[in-house]
Amino acid sequence: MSQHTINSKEQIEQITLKIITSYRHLSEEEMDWIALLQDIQDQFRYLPPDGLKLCARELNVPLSQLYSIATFYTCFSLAPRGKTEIQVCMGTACHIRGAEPILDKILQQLALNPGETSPDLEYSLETVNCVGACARGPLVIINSNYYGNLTMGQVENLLSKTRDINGEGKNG
Amino acid sequence: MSWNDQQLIYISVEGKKISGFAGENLLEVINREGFEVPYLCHHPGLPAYGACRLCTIQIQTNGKTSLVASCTYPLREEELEVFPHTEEVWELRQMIIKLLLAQSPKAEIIQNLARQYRVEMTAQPENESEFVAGTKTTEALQEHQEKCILCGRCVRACGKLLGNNAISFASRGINRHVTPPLAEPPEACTGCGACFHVCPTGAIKMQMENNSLKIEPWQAEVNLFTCPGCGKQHFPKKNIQEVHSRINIDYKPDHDFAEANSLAELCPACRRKHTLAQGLASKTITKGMENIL
Repeated sequence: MSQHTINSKEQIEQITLKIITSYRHLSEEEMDWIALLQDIQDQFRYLPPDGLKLCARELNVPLSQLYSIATFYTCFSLAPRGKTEIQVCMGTACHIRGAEPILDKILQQLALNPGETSPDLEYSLETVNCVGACARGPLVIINSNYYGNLTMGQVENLLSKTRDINGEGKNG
Repeated sequence: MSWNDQQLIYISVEGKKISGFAGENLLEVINREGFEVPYLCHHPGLPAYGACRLCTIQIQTNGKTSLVASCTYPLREEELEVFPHTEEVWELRQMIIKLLLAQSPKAEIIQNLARQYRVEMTAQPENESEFVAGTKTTEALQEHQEKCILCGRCVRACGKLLGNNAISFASRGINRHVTPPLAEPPEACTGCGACFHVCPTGAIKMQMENNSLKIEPWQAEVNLFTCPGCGKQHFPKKNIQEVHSRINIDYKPDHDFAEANSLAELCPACRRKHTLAQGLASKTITKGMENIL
């Protein structure tokens, strides 16, 4: 379950420590750093620097090594991400089927650039290169839900729908 | 295993018969004989890496001809003919230098190589400033990026050689760069300066300032140790502590000239004076020999 507020340093360390516990018994060869970082990212929707530092201390691994992994893979983020993560496919097939105007529309609506998160931590926007669903292009992924064969009109509805869902979430 | 236990291997370089030990890397063997194969990422004190590809040479073994990076090619028992400077190799190096020059136009060593291999500067993209996404660009960082060729010498020296791991590669593709973790001043840095000394392009700066030693662009700052003899500041404190802990001497800063500790704390000049005084006292050094020390 994702946390929906920015956590304090103590909270981050407490939660991270719990995750670390399930990795402690692994030997150096067995250790899977990517899995560890994925677990942390699942908790916070990003990799908090305090969490990384704790991992380095507790598991006796150079912080520089974790930082290398965390910056190498685009699935990891060192800055907080929004509640609604929007990924616009810009792969070749989607590009030909009109991903460009769809991205423009989304940029306009959210007033965000690709790779940015809105200051209220509601939305994160990024472009991706092919997610393997070319037959359904142009394609947008919102919080792991795939929306394919999009038209401009649908994009508008899509965003207002997620806005409603988030809005209800707040009230309820 | 001492050197005379090792198996000698004979190879032919441009028709000349030369020898090296089994397992030795080809680059060092042929350069020892004066063939002047250029390289940037290789360093005799560091594990082989094969990043820059400049040391690429042509080899012929079992009738097959191929191009290999000589720094990662260990000598082994086989019929090996080496041609370090064929036309094909020359063209390949020209291309590598062209790319390096575009990447790091300010590095003097690259400029010299470009002159030597008659490579001209290609057009530069106009706006390069957004090189490393998400990090604050300082002047030191900018200068570093214009010189760094990502050869990884500093990363290997800090990590593999010294085990400090204060810096590493981060990001990938066009954004790949060397940085301390989280782009913050590195806690693990002891100020040993190995990264500065092994950097082939001068992309790392080290300078003494007031009471501290600064290494840029890592934003590393370590305090210097004051020589108990003359009061001059010399080695970084953390570095001395590191040496002490590795050779298992208890580190006690206010220990009053206890032999082992105090010697390590003396600056090089005072250390010489100390040795001289001891030698004179014990008569192992006679007057007149002083000048040698």
